[in-house]
Amino acid sequence: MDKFTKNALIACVALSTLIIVFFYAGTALGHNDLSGSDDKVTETAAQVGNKTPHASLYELDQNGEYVGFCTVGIIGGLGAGYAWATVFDEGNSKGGIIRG
Amino acid sequence: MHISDGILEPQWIILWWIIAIVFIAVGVVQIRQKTKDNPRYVPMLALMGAAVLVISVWHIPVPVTGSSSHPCGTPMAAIIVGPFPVAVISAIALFFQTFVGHGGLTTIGANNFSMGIVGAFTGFGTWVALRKFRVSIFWAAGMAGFIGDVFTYVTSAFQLAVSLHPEAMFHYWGIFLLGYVPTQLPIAIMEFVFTGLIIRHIAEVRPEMMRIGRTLTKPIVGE
Repeated sequence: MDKFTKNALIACVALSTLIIVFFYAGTALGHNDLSGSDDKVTETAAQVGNKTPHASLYELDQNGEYVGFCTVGIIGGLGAGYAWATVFDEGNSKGGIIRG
Repeated sequence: MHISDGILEPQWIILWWIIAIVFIAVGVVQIRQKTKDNPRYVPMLALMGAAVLVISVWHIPVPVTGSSSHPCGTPMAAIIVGPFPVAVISAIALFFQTFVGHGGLTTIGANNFSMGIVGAFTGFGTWVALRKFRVSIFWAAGMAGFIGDVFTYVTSAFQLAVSLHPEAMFHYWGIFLLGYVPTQLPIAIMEFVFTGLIIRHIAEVRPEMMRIGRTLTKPIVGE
C-alpha cells in the first residue's frame, strides 16, 4: 500500500470517528433528532410558502434513510475503489501515461 | 442544498434546469476533449464523481446546533477535474441521491446550480485567484472549499426566497440563510480542512494528477 492510499484510509477512519463522536456529543447535549439542516430549512420554506414538499419516488423513514445513505456510501466506495487503482497506481504514475 | 420536490415554482424549476443544462453541455464537451488528451481523465472523473456522491450525503452532526449537514465536495473536484465537468458529475450524483429521498427529481437543476455550478465555480475561482497571489496550496485549496461550501448554501437560500417570496426576496433570503448558517458554518470549516489537506497531499505525492484536468494548475501549483 503506497503512502497516499494509506493516508486516505487514515483520513476516512478519522472522519468516521469524528462523526460518531459528534453524534454522541449531540445526544449527550439533549439533541435526540440531529436531522439534516436541509430538511429543516425546506420545512420552514414550505410553511411560509404554503407548499407541501414530497419525495420524488418514495418516502423513507429514519431507518430507510440510514440504509439508503449506507447504500450510497457502498456504491460510491465501489466506484471510487474501481477508479482508485487506475488513478493512483504507483506503476502508472511513473509509467509516462500522464501527459498533463 | 437538497431542495425537495413540491417547493419551487414551475417557472423557477425550468429556469434552473435550463442554466444547468447549458453548463452540463459545456462540461460534456470538455470531458470529451480532455479524455482524448489523457486517457486517465475518465477514471479520475469517476473517482471525483464517487467522492461528490458520497461527500454530499455525508451527514455530519453538529452537536451544539442539534442538527446535521454535509459538505459539498464540488470545490475539491473542480480543482482537480475542472469546474465545467463538475456540473456533469454533480448532476449524476444528485440524480442517484433522489433514490434515497435526498433532494428531488424536478429540483435537480436548482440543486445542481447551487452545488455543482456555484459551488464548483466559486471554489475554483478562489483557488485560481489565491494561487496567483502565491498563497500556499493548503490555504488556497482550503479557502476554495470554504467559499464553495458557503456559496452553495447562499445560493440555495436565494433559490427558495426568489421562488416562494419574490416580493420580499431579501427578507426571506436572510431567513433561509439563517436556517442554514449555524450548522453549515462548522461544516464549511471542515470542508476547508479536508479540501486543503487532500489537495496539498495530492500536489505533494501525485503532482501530475493536478494537471490531469488541465485546470490552470500547471503554472500555479509549482511552488
